[in-house]
Amino acid sequence: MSRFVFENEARYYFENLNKLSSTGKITTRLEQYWLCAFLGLVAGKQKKELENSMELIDTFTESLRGHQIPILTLLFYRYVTKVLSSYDSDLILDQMKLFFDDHAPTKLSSDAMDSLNKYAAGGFGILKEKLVNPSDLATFLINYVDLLESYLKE
Amino acid sequence: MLTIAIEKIRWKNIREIEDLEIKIQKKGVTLLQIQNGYGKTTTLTLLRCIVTGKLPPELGIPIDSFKYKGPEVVDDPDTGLFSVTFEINGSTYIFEIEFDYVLKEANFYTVSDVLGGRKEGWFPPNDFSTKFKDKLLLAKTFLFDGETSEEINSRSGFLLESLREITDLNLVYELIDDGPDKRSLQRLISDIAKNNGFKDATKKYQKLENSYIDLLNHINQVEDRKSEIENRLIVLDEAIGNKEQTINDIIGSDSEIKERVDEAKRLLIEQQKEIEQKTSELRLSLMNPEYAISKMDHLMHFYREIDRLKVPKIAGRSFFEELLNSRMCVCGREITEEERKYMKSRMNDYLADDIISVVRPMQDLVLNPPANLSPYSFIAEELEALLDEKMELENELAALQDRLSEDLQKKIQELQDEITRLKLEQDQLIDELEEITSNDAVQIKREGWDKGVIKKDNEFYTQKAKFTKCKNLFTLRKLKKHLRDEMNKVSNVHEFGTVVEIIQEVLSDAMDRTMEEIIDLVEKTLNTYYNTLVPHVHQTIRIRGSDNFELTFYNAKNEPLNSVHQASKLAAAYSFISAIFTVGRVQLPLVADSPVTSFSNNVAEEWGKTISKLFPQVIAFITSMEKGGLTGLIANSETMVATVKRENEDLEGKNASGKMICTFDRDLFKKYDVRRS
Repeated sequence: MSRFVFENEARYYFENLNKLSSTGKITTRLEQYWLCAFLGLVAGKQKKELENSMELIDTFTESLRGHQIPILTLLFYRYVTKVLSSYDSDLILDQMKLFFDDHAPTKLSSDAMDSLNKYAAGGFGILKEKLVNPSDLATFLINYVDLLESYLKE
Repeated sequence: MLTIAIEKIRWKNIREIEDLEIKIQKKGVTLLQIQNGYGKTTTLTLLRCIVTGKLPPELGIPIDSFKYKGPEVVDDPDTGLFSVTFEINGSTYIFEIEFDYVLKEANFYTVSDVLGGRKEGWFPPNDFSTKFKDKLLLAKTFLFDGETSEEINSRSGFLLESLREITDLNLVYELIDDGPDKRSLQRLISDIAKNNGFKDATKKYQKLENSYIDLLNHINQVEDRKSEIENRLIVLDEAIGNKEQTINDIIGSDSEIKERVDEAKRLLIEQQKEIEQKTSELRLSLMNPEYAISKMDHLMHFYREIDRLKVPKIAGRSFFEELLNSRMCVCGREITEEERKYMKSRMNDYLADDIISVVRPMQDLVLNPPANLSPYSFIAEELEALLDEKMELENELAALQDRLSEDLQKKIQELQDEITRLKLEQDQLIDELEEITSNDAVQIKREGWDKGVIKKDNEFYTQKAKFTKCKNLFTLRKLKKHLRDEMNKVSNVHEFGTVVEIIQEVLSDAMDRTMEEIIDLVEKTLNTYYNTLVPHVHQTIRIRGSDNFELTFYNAKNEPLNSVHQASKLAAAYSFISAIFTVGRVQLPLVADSPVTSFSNNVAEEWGKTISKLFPQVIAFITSMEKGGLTGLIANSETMVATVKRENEDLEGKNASGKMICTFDRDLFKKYDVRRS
């Protein structure tokens, strides 16, 4: 069963933020992971190979479970458009078969999960470059939204 | 009781002897007159080989030294044979050593009805083997020559070793202190430890135990430090609170300012709560990417394309499978076989129902987006505004303080500096406490709090120098468990080792006491025999020396004698051998090479009278020159006398030609007189 994989460096980044912040913390590891993945997906940035990482769980946790459909929507779009430039029904169907796994709790095949993990690592690459050593969650999230918006405008 | 007698000795192509067999009487004295150079020493050496199961090369004697060197032409000169027929506890055993002088090899053969005939190898009965195998020293006591006498009198350890061997106590001693067979209990433990993967269980256990004790002490110290930090933090918290209160009091001294400060502080607290709430709201809104999706035109286009292509089919695979299994189509017509085959081939066009239940909402989300999309950018803006307001309140608070008198402001500044210093200490202690209490393996590794104690998941450095640098209790407790597990692994062997040590000590004490008693007995018997052999010297012998076991002679005044006559030494040696046989539960023959050569005729005569009382069977290889002191024995009809000489050799040893023969002619025995050394 494939799992969410989060790079250690990204975990340290958020641990440090939590330690310093006086306006709140992001204690759920999968939320930290998602913030990275979300940015990576929006920016369309994947990291080729993951470095020193740890496996997380294989299901969406509470705060994300309700948003599984939009998350998959975003990921599937990136997944298909990365390999296909034009579409026909057979090609799309083939991609759907590759992307989904009806036995996985997330419904993601190991290939799709691997892709999401790489977007998370790619998103963290942006974070650590643009938002260096954040020390307060409120300020961090405001800056994060700005960063997200800037990629959405591109 | 082990009873051994020699019945026959046979030589074939050994040194001077072509082929000769001599039958020996099993009881009483046999005097074999053999002139020097005819093979007395060789025979004694080969007898020692046969008794101990060691071939000549194992005693450092080359095979060549036994090769036939006599004047005759012999059959098959490249081979040789020495054999001895024993009666051991009533059964006949023949031990042979076969020599191959070309290959320079020798082999044992054993012949016995017990073995079912002749068998290659050395196979005496078990009690014989236990008593004599590899025990050259013991063999020397009854296969006796001048060297034996010398060793008994002068070689340190000979007496004790021979006593241990003859009484079989050497087997017990081997359990205590290892022996030639390397079977001490300590070695047994060592082997068990080795077989269990521990080189030295006791040492390893002690090392682990020492580490474990050091670790427990260190953990206690860290726990003490933890308590100390926790207590100090309480003190610091209180001190900071007091100082803040003092600042409040100072500010409160100006009632107008106080009111405004209190208000600002109240607002700040409210503001902080609101910021935290809004931050949480923003964080949660970012978990939902719907808003971002709605702003991604390419994505919208992509999903519209999929919709246009009608992918996937609306129905899930189960619907299709149901249709495939029914006879009738939904339109009411019967499905033909060809249609069924076609439908089957299109099965893969349909996704699993579970997937359809995900894909459809995905498409709906893009094509029919929810009306009330929550743009997190709005929440972010609200949060930003709250942060600005908070900053304003903080500035206002600072400005209020500026309105106080310079003295009060200075005092407040000092208090604030003090608070800053205390908070710095507080932060450092909190960091240290976190290092001590963290149980997040990743964090511990990242921060280096394990100080390199953990090599891998289940591998640790257990050196005190290493782990005492580590303060992290999680790591230290893991190490503690690891050490405990390792100790458990080794403890069985270690505990066994401890029991063995106790057994060894008990055995050692018991053996020392037993040996004392045996030595007392041997000493008593030895003196009885010695006084019989040499009554005129009026000496006594003690076995215990000042610092080891050796024969020590005392005169009638009980004064130790620094030197005694060679004859006294020889007499003492015979007496000692006889004495140890009495405690050893063995009846052995005495085979002696030139037994009375150092004795005067009187002493030799005494030896002749006494020796048959000491040993059930005596075989003495003598030269014609020794006969002068043995007239009594020779005259005794119970003494078997034989002369080994060459066939044509005369009574003076001249014309030494022809094969070596053995004659039992008593007259010839007496007259044979070879004056050669």
